[in-house]
Amino acid sequence: MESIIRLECIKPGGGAYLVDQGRAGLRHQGIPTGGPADNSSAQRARELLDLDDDAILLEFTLEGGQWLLSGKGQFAITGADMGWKINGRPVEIYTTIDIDGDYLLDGGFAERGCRSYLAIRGNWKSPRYLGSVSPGLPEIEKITTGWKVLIEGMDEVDYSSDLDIYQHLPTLPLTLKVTPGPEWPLLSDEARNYFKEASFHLGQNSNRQGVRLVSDLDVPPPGPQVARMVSSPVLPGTIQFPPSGPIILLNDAQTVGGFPRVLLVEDYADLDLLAQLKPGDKVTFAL
Amino acid sequence: MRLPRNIQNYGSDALLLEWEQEIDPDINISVHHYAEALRGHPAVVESVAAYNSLLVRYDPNQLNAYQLREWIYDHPATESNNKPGKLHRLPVVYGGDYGPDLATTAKSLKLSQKKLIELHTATTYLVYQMGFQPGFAFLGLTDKKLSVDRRETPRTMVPAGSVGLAGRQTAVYPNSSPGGWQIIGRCPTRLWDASKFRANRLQAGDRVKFYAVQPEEWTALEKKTASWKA
Repeated sequence: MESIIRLECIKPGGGAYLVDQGRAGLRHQGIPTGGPADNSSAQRARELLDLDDDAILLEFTLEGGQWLLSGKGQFAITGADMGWKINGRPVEIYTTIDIDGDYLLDGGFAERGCRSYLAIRGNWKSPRYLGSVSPGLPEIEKITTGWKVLIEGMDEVDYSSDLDIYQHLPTLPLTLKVTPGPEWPLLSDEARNYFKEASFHLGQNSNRQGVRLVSDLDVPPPGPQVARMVSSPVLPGTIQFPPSGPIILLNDAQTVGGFPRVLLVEDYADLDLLAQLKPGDKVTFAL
Repeated sequence: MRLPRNIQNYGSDALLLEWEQEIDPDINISVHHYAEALRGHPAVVESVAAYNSLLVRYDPNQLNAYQLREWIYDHPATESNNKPGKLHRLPVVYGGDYGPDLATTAKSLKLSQKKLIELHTATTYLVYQMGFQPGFAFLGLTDKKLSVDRRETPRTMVPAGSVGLAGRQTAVYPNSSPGGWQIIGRCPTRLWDASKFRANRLQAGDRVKFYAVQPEEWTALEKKTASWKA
C-alpha cells in the first residue's frame, strides 16, 4: 500500500537542511563533500527505519522549529535532544513512530547536542544536484516557512527503539586527538604553545562549514614563516588558523584555503561529535 | 615537468604533495599532470590540485601512505601521458553596471580604462586551481600593471558572470555570491550547470582568454552560449 506523506515548514528553527550522503569525490572541482554534519546520528535515524545509506533526512540546527506532517507512515528522530513534541505531546527520540493523519511537529532549543535528524520512511521527492540534496550549491533551495516536500511512503518496518538517546553526543569537554598539519612546524613557539595550553570553547559563528574556537588568551600571530602562504587544499577535519582564531573545518568546508593548516583531527568520527557541540561547549586538543 | 619537493602524510587517508612556495605556471601545470595521473590510480578517491600543491585522498583499506608515496616516486608525471587543458575564449562586457569597479580600479592603477581592458584581454590565463565556491576558477597571472588589492568591504552580492581582479589573479564568479574582488566586467557565458555531471565549464589546468564585447551583444551571446560535454 503506497501513501503520500507531506512535510511542510511552519517555522524553520535554527537552520534546517536536507541531507543525504553528500557529494564525495568532487573537491577537485571546488565542490564541498557535504552530507550530514553528524553522520553517526543521521545513519542511526536511517537504520531505525531500515532506509538506504543515501536516504534523505532533514537536519535541524540548535532549534527544531515547527513542521506540519501529514499522511500515513513512520518517522524517527535522532541526534540532539530538542524536546520534540507532536501535537503537544512529547516525542520519544531514537524510536520508530507511526503516524496516520495530520500532526504538528515542534522542536525547541537543543538541551543537549546541537543537531537533530528527522527520517521519514519513504522516497523523498527532492531534486538531487550532482547526486545530492545537501546544501552548498546555488541550485539547492533554502528551507524557509512554506517550504514543502512530498514523500512516497513505503511498507512499514518493525518498531525499534534505542535506550541510550545520548549515544551520539560528546562528553564535555570534548578531547580531540589531533596530529600536526602541514604548517605546524612553521608556527612560532608562541603560536604552538597557544594550541597546547589554551582552553577553547565553541564560538557563536560556527556552522556546517566549520566551528570556530575561542579562548580566554589573545590569539597570537602564527609567526613570520607562514605569513606568505600560497593557498592549498584542505579537508573536513583540518584546523585552520586565521588571525581571528582557529577554525575546525566540517563536511561543508571549502576545498582550498590560504590560512595555516596547523592541526588535523585524527579520527573522522570525531567530526560527528564536533557537529554536536553548541557555542560555549569546551574543546581540548590531545596532541 | 617539475617534481614535487615534498610528499607528506595529511591525516590518516591523504598525502600532500608540495612544490616550491611560489605561484608559477610551470609548477602549476606539473601539479595538474600529477593530479590527473593520480586520479587514474585505483586506490585514489580524490585528487585536489592547488597552485603549488596537491592533496591526494586514498582508500586506506587498499594501500597505505608509504605504498602510495613509493608509487608516486616510481611514476613521475610526464608531458606525454596527459592531454593539455582546453582553451576557452570568453566574452566580457567591461565597465558600467557590468563592471562597477572598472573606473576606480583603473584610476588606482594609474591606467586608462581602455588600457586596463587591453591588458586584461591580452593574456592567456591558466586555471591554477578551483575553490572558494563551487566552480570558482582562479586564473592567473595577470599583467604586473593590473595587480590590485581586494575591495576593503566585500560586496554582499555579486551577480553571476562578474569578472574580478584581486592581487595578480582574475576570475569569473560562476554564480551570484558575496565577493570581495574588484569587479571590472561581466561574462555572458554560462560557466556552471549542476544538472550536468561536470558542473563546471572550466577545469583546473584549462586556459582562458577574454575578449571585450559591447553591452548590446549581451543577450545574443548569453543565448548562443554552447554547452559543454558531460
